[in-house]
Amino acid sequence: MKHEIDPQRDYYAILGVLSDADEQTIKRAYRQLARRYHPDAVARRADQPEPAEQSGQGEPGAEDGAPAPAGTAERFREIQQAYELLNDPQQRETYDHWRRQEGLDRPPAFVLSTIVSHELLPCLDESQSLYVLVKISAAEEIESRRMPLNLCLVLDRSTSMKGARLQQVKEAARYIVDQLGEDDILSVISFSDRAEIVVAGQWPADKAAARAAISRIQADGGTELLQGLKAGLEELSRWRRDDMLNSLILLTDGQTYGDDQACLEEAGWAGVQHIQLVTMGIGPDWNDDLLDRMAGLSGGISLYIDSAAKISRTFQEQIHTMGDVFAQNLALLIHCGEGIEVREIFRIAPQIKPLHLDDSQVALGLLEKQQPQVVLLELLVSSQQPGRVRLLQLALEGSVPAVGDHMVRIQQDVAVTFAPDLTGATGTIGRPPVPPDIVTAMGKLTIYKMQARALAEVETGQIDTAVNRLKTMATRLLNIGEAELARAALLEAGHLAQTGSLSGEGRKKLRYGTRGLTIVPKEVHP
Amino acid sequence: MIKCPFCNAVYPENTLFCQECGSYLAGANGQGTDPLIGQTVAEVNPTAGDSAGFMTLTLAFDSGGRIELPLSKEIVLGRLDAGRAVFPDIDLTNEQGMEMGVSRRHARVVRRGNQVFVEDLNSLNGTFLNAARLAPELPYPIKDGDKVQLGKLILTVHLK
Repeated sequence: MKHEIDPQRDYYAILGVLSDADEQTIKRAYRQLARRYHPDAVARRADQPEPAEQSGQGEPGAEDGAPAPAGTAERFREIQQAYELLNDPQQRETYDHWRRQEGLDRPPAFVLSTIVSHELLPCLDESQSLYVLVKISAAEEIESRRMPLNLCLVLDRSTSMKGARLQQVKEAARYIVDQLGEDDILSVISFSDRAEIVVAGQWPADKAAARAAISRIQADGGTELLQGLKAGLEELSRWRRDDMLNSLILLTDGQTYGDDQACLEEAGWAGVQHIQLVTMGIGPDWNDDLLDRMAGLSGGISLYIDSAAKISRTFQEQIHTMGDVFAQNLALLIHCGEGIEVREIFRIAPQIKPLHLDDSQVALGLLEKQQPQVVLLELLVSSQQPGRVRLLQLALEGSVPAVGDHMVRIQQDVAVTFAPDLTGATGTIGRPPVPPDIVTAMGKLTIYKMQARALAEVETGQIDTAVNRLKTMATRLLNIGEAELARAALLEAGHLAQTGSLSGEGRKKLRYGTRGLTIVPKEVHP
Repeated sequence: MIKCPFCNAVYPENTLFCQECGSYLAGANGQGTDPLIGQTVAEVNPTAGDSAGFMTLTLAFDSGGRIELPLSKEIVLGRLDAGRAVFPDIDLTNEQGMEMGVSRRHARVVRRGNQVFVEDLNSLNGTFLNAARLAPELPYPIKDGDKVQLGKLILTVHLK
């Protein structure tokens, strides 16, 4: 089947190969993709029973499996088309020629680089650990194009918001109105026992009217999250488009009662629709478990605001983050070599978060232009023959509006060398040291994990264990110079020992504070 | 297999950190403090420094690391051992405390009035102030810029 050659489309990026790739490489890339996206293969995977849902025990960001594979058929057609073209030397040359003429022969949109904890591993009879740090950033050469926003603010106006909190929220909302671009759509919902549409989404935006409407919000009533969430999602879906950044910012300061499950269902639906929820809690009294899980289900994030004075800044940071989005629907595909097992995957930056490997794929959400994502893989490697061994094949996919409407893909292998005579070497002598970035990242991640375990232990009533863990955590935090968090951990250890429970504030401080223990390696070698 | 020297949890070879107590596992071999060989001990009386109004203690390591702590209560320096419920305020394991001969409870820093003191807690390999070994369990005044040495590990003191 012949297709029209479109020089605007990057067929190389669709296959995830470089523009100087030889025939073999193109063939291999195509086969791999075809196995993944062929309609039969997709149908086969869909038939398999869903994995049992994880009990979300204080474990933040528990994400559900990828939604129904919408668009896979289209992706498969795209892959086939790219392959047919590039596999025909004559067509490929014509295509290359056109692209050079139009200045489109650009480098790939992503930069994917990796570091391993040990380049050289001994051949052992037993399994060993290996850590891989993956840094994902936007290619510098590619000019970012700001995506139009389809944004809804869902604001709690319950009685407890009265005073400084609501004042600050209104100011922050008005700031967002001022920042809106020409193509942006903003809607604002306020909620207490029920939801009201303060500003309905419209194009073009009437900024003066929106500002005035926001100023009229009054504090009164209880907190019914579901009402606000539903109204917000309804507004968003009226304008939702795939080339927009569809986002809902939810801000609350209180507990919602009885509608938790329904809120989670709505959040899951938002995820399927590619609407990300940014959930924010102010003060000590809101349900961090719920807000966290809602954000996780939609591929968004949850944030803790400890005082009213920080509301404005948090909103500003969010709106600037949204303006800096470079890629959407980012996914890391991981194929393990023989004898390799991925034990855990965590995002290390911009915020620590556990990630889930689902069908060899990890959903990574959005990538900012200025802020790389760093992911840490903990592997278990069983015995290998001496020599160079390819452990992992990594591929990164995502849509980058700045380069077109197709999926962009790049690939990279991770390999290490196994040596038989390393076994005799004692201790660390004669072995290259572990790269400092990995030690720092793992050190911080270990503290984050201790936090998660301590919170889980409190839930299951293992109070003494949790007290000890918090104390150990405090010492570790001091070691890395996090004096304030260390103090919070010690205070909570004391509170827990005395009362058998954590304080609302301390619990959130630890939970959200340890997520901020991120690192971005400066030098990562590709 | 490797065993965490502090809490005895077991991990695959090349694991970097203990998930139980957060200790750095690469390079840790035994759990006791080994006596250092060939150290010279000199009895010198250090001169008192003026540390009026100091609120914060900063310790700088030769490795480049720094730790800052408020002087509102006593600060114990040593090596964390969760298995024995020893929780020093500053854990020196990651500064190679084990290899340098630092005890679990090695020394402490306290402020009394306008003066900051360091006191050896009867450690195996001793605490030194500007290269002079301190008598155990006696507080010695310290001033900004002093070198405190625990076993072989040297810390530079900054007071603010």
